[in-house]
Amino acid sequence: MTDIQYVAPSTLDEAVGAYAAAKGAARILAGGTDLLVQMRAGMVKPGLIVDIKKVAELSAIEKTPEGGFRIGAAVSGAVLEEHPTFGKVWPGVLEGLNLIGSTQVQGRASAGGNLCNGSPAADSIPGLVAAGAIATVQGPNGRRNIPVEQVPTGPGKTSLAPGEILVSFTLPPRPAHSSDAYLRMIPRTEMDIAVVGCAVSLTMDGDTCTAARVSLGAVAPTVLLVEDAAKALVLTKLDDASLDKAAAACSAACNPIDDKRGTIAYRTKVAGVLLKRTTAIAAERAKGG
Amino acid sequence: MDSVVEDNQLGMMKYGIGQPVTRSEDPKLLRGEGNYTDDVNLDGQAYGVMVRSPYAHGTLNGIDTAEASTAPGVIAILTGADLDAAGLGTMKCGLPLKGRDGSPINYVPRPALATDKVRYVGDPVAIVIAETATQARDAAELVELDIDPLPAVTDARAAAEAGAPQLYDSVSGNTAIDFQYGDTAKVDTAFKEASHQTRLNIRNNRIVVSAMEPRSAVGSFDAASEGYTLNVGCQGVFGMMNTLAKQVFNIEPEKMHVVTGNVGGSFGMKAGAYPEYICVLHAAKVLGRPVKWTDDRSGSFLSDCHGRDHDMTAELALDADGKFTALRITGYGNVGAFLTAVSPMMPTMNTLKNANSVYRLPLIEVASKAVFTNTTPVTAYRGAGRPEANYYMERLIETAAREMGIDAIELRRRNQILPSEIPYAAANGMNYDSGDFPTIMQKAVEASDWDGFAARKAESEKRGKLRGRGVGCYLEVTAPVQEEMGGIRFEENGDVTIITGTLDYGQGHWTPFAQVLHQKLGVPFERIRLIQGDSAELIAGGGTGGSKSIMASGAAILEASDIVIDKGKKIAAHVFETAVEDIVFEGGAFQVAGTDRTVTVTELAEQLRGGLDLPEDLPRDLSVKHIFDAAPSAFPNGCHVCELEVDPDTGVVEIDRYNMVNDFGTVVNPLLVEGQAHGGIVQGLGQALMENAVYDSEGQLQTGSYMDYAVPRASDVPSFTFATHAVPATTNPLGAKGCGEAGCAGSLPSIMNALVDALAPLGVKHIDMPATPEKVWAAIQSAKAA
Ligand SMILES: Cc1cc2nc3c(=O)[nH]c(=O)nc-3n(C[C@H](O)[C@H](O)[C@H](O)COP(=O)(O)OP(=O)(O)OC[C@H]3O[C@@H](n4cnc5c(N)ncnc54)[C@H](O)[C@@H]3O)c2cc1C
Repeated sequence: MTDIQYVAPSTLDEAVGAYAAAKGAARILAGGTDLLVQMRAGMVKPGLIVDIKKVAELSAIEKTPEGGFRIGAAVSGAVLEEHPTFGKVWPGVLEGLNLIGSTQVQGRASAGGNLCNGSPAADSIPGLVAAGAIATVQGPNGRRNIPVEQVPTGPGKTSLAPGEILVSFTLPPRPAHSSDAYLRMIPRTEMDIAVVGCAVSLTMDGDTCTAARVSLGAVAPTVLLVEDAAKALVLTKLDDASLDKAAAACSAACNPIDDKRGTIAYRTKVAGVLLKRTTAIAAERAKGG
Repeated sequence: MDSVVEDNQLGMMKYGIGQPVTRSEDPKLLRGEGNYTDDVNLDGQAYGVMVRSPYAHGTLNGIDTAEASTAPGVIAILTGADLDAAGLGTMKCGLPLKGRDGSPINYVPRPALATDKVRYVGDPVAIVIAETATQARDAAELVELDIDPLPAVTDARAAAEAGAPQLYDSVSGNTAIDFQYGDTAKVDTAFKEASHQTRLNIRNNRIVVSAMEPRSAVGSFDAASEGYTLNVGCQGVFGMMNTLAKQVFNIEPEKMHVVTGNVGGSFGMKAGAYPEYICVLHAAKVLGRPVKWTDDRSGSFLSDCHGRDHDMTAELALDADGKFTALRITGYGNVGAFLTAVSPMMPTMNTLKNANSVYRLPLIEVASKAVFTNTTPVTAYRGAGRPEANYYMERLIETAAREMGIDAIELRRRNQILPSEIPYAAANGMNYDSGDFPTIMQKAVEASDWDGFAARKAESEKRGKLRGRGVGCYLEVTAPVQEEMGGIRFEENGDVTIITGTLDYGQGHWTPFAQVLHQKLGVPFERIRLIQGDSAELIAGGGTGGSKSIMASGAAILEASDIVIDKGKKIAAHVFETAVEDIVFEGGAFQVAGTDRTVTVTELAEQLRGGLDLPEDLPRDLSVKHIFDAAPSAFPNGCHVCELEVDPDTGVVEIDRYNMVNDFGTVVNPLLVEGQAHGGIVQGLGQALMENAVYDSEGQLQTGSYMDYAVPRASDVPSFTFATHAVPATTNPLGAKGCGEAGCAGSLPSIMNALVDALAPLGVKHIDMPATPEKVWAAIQSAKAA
């Protein structure tokens, strides 16, 4: 077994420098709930571990000047849960992040790690995609901002360039009567992890939905933004016909990988079912808020 | 019959029989101070890791250990050839079971390491021993196996067909036994004359046992005494000692010392000898130092015996009144690649013994084959044929009731054996000695708020859910008690040690055994210790299995106590200078009848330790080593009622209400008995709704980790309502009936009957286990399409 170096820099520049210098032999460590498991299983064997939790910007939760939120990539679900207002504005984002694992895992697991690990079933990502969150990335060539849905490119793969570190998520300011929700379906059975995750973010004007974003997890090689589903909801009263249309759009967007046991038909159908249920919760919350 | 149970102090003593005493071992276990096998570390110990076949079937041409043996830390690599050269024997199946033509079980005894062929993925071919476990693991990956893969067969029905790949040259049709019981002609006639026949093809899915503690073993050898010691988790050290000594090592049993500390679950799986144990023992001798092996979870999935895996056709014949006239079960049991000591029993004799259940049944036929396949060996798993057979019967009854338009409770009532018909000689050869089946069902029905179901169903419907209700009556035939030791030793420090050859692998034997002794002899509960896991202490021991421990050890303790009392009377008579006939034993004390002169057992033991001046012919102490002879099977029975909701859009099943009434005979400790019922139900729920070991066509286990194999969690079950309606057994001194496996026997049918009940309005007639959300959803879709 080769030795593993460990560094925990306190500035982003140092972190990027060390990470880029190692040229692919390094791994970023946030909560470690994926990384350490993968190392123990022998799936990854990094020569250098760059722990980013000491970098202030990556562990901060801030309000943006525009009135949105900026969350450091390494913020754990448990820390975000304790924030006085975040969960009131983005209950769906928070519930996605805090569906991960168990209490112990939530004390460590970050949305940044969840995104960079690249699982199509990552639970916190549909919520961020539905929220319209922007990922800020920094590498040897500087900083750039990209929509969250453009980060994952396939199972275990991201669009981050070599040496790039995910810095934060920026969530836009929220109009009145807006809210979101996340539901996942994990029939605990043989041959299946998460079957479908669905996030819906809505703005309501009375009974009318004026804005919507819909995202699905676990039904395709990456988390999906389902624009057709959102379109089916906007400027409706979320009546059965509109919900059916949105559900059909979700089913149509599904491109699940595995059909060994007929899971395609099942996942596709359940995606639509979850869309309806998630929309109902989000609408309820939006009207209340 | 002993009077201990009817004693008027029953239920009044804090630690007496019938009290819900908490488990004596728990404080230690909860603090992490238990002593499991992997906690055992011996001076100078080396570590073994198994090299396993990556193929399900193949010819083993050679094993190249050259590179591995030069890897860092490697001490030795042993293969099957080394074990052969050392003259080690094989593991055998000595069951007296006979096939339909009278022939014995056909099989090839198993060597610890494969030499000619590999027969399942995980079949061990070598052990690598190194200074550390990590070094052994790294080196094991360097062992090169030269295997020519052969076509594999993993399904029992397919394996029995002509043209299937053959696992053994000498076993034709892969059939270990072709079992048949019953008068085929009469049964045929009964079916022809029946006014209604119900027929179901039922899969009993394969289970990965998932004991919380993986298997582990430490072997050591003392050159001076030529004695082996094996530290291992098992279900009985006496049996393990005999198997290893007599079958494999060809030595006197005394030279094979088997020691078991705490065991984190077994369910049948850890009962037998495994290749790894033989390897570490032999390696310890060869290397002159102890060798330890501990499985990891991925290894457990492949190397621990699996459970169940039967494929049966169950048929019930009924007359116009709905009276059962014949039951027929035919099909296949998958035993995997090798037989264990008991594995042919489950699909054959145990299915026969238990299918009869609580019903009046004139005719029964069971005709089934135990078949070899290229899969992990299958062995007894919680119930070992009992839950399977009760499941077939209850699914048949529920289906027949629906087909005939008779209420399912009413149909059961018409066929249940009445108390007035007991003793009842069942068609399968069992003799029921006790029981009140109709009352138990009635009580369970009432406890479940039977009449409130319609309202609950309507309320579920409003929420878009389908509600169903199912009944599972069951009767289990427990394993008969063979010889069991009842040892009682009065220790120097005042403790009283029970020594018995059953073995606690999580059930909590210490407490109920101590309750029996405490009530019988009056010795303080807190001073009672228990030894089970040390073969050097035992003069007999049947181990634990088949729900018999309280009957075996309980009876042995009672009989041994009688001997203590006899001895004590003689000594007390001397102390009180009176005749033995004048001494009575009551409330834990010897008394000169009609006087206030008494001495308790504890006091007398203390006086003996202090040194009593006793005549030659009197015993010097109160300690006893006794062997309880035998007791026949008991018949625990009961009725479970499950109510559940199905989400038709996702197929998710949620258990909502669960009631049961059980007859476990005399209950020594209701707290532990209820816990056993809970655990059994949840284990049954796992099989019913989630668990399934799946092989692909090449024999690779696709469900090789908990990512792909689901076991139930606490959140998957509601609170259970538990009640007892006890009719003590007449066939053992305690009157106990055994409760360890009953939860599974009741829960499989009650859950699956409830599920089919929920879906019946849509046209669903049967769903095989596990009823995963996707399967339920698919059943709904195809019922809709039809
Ligand atoms: C018991 C258990 C249960 C789990 N359950 C769930 C579940 O229900 N749902 C679910 O979605 N996941 C689950 N997970 C997976 C895991 O917890 C999540 O993916 C978690 O969000 C990962 O976050 P982390 O901070 O621990 O990431 P880490 O393990 O630290 O990192 C994950 C990966 O991302 C990279 N990385 C991390 N941060 C950055 C960054 N800022 N920039 C660039 N690369 C980065 C790392 O190098 C690594 O490759 C579970 C894990 C465990 C152990």
